Amino acid sequence: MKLDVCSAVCGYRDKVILKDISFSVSSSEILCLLGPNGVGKTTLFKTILGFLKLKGGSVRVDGEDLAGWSRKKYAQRIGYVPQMHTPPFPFTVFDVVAMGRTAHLDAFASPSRADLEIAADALDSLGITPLKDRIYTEISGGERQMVLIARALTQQPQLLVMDEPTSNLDFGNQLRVLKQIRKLAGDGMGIVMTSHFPDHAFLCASRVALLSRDGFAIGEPDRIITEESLRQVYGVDVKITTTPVGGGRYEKACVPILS
Amino acid sequence: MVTQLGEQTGIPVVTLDSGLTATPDAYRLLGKILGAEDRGNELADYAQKTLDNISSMVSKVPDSDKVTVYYAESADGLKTDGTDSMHTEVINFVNATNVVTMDTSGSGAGTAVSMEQVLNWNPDVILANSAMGGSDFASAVYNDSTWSGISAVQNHRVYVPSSLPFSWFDRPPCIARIIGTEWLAAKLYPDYVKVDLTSDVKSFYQTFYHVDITDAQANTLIGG
Amino acid sequence: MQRTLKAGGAAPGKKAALSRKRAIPAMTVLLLLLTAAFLLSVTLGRYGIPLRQLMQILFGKLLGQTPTWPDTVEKVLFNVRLPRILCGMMVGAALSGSGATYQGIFKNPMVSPDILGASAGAGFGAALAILNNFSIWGIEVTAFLFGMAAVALTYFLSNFIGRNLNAVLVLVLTGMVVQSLFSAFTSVIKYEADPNNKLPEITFWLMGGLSSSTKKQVLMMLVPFIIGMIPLFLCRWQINILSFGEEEAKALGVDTGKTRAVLILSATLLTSASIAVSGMIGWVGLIIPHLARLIVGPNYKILLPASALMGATFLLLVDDIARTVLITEIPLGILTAIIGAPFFLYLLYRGRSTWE
Repeated sequence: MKLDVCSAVCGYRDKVILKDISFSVSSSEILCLLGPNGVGKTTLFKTILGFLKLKGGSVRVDGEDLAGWSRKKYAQRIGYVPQMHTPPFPFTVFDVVAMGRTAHLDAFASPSRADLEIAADALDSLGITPLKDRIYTEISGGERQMVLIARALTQQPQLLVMDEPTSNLDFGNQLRVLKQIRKLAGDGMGIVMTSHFPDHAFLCASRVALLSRDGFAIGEPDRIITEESLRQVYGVDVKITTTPVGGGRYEKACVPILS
Repeated sequence: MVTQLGEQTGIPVVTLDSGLTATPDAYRLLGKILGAEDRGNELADYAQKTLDNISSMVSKVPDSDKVTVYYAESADGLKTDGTDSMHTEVINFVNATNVVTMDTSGSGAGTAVSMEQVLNWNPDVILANSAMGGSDFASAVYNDSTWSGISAVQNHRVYVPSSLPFSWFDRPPCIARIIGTEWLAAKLYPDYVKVDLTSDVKSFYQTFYHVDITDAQANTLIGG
Repeated sequence: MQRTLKAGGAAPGKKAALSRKRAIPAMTVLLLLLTAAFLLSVTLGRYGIPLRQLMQILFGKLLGQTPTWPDTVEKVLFNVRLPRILCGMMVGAALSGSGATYQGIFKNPMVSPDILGASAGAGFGAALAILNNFSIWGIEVTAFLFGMAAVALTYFLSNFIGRNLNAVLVLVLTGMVVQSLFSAFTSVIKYEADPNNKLPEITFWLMGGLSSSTKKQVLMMLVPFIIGMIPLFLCRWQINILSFGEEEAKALGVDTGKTRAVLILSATLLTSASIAVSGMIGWVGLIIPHLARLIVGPNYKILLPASALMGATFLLLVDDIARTVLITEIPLGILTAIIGAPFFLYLLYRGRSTWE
């Protein structure tokens, strides 16, 4: 699976937010979108998901232009994991996850036994089967985020678009979700995620897109996230450290300098 | 409210009892206030005479001959007013029984009853008010299988009081009730109420409305 | 995980029994309740019919026997009581079904079927028709048409004003405006109306009641009822998805604009027809779906039929009270409010945790 964004122009009704954006994401890749508030991360991924109409350029999946796809077709190929939120009705976790199968149902159908099995598998693959019969609105933020990921997986998509999947989560849950994201990519999923944390990009992204008012830089995390680029884009001073974590591996992290 | 109105406008405010039997006094009072005592008394005397006349005739109706009346105020015939209501005074006056014995005086909009209840009451007479869709009701009722079992319908005793220029019966409950009372009494108790309706209608319209109507017109008002 | 890689296809197989195990008993109970209420209602009425005679007539009619019972009694049963019961059930089910649907579309358990202006429009239509001396049918048809028109106005206005992403919010706000407008117009008509006859007629109509239910009315209600209910039932699963919000619903594969349009049209058919037949009856569309949700959960697969069944039962029983307790009728709209309001408070108290 390959998602190609070609010279995309994104924006709202009369306002252009992003110009001439081009990149691609393939299976097993994780692309992390970084950038300050208001720069257009949300606009970009909403355009990819088809919530906003492209003002120019094109978005393709495996060479096929997305323009004119039905919502159903979109949902069968691209899964959306929104930020954790509170819906108005107390569905069970299992019901929520089963909603992911909607993309594969006929117009007036509801999930069949086979569909429900796929939902159960998705829960299992994320290790949250014990949550199955809990009420979605009563579980913790971290757990809800995992349920939303499970729901997206139930769609059996080729690409996942995740909107700040670690927001509103405590430290432990943040790391757990990131671990899960890495695992998904390891199993073949292509992932686009937005984030506020360059550290997270270091932790799991295979590529990073840094959006700023001046432009759009995309490439490997090591190359894109530098002390210079962060100062330019976020206006802050950081030091980037490299720490050995055993087994010959290194993890990089951003250490802010506040004084 | 009356005193408030008087204070606010600086104009003397007088309230009159609009009850049927209070009509003569109302006219006498009006005559005094408006400086038209002769006219006031003329109307008061006429009203009094008619009411007394009818009253004495209907009082002779024995209980066994008393008629039950249902007053239909809508096109479907299922809105009515009860015996306490000012809307149905004429029924009580002519010594008939309003089947709706419940107190409905609180509601100015009338009260609904169910078809089953009407069938239960099985009234002898049905009065339909043309102002509230009653004439539609009256013409349709004879063809309606649900109403056909009722005594009033079987005996063709569904009456629509005239409403020119204003209702003889209700909505509005106005001075025309004077002739309306006579009319209803004659309709309900023809054996006990002997009057020359045509001539009385003409004289009522002449006295109260200053209008001369022909015999034919009077008969049209009186209805079938 | 290998499975997540495959492009998904429609999964074959029979309908799952997984979450249905809990639901079946609940639905059966509700169906039994409705049947019981129906049977009870058939025996109740101002025109007393002894139980034995009732059974005699019902079975006699069923078996095509020649009548040995009084004609009037048969008329009461088949021309008056049964049509009224059937209308009551349909109106109850219609209002509850559309209320439940709107609560899903608008993601808000506090929503009633009036939210888009159907009842304000229908009330206005009725008032207008009464003012102009329309026949009973004329009044009903006008009420129905104006109910539909008000919602159409809301819908198209909101499409014109809003953008897709705020569709739901703009709908609600436009609905509020349309509601107020039509209510205001109705007030103008009431003001113009002759206080001696037209005004009481209008007031009466607005208070709501099933007293004029006839066989013909049952047929008139049946058509919009079926046409309206079917799409709601077919789209039950999609309502679940819609309740998560516009973007998520889209992302999950639902054509939100189209689905919403179908649901609104169907719900409005149901609401307008109900108001045309029985005047303004509030609370049913708000409380019953709530109560149903407390009992069977928020999954519309079960919630929708449950709401419909409970609504039918509720209105049937309330109408029984309206038409038998006193000699005169108690307006249905008043009864549902008197019974509904305290009950709603109780539900709020009980279900506090449900929407925290």
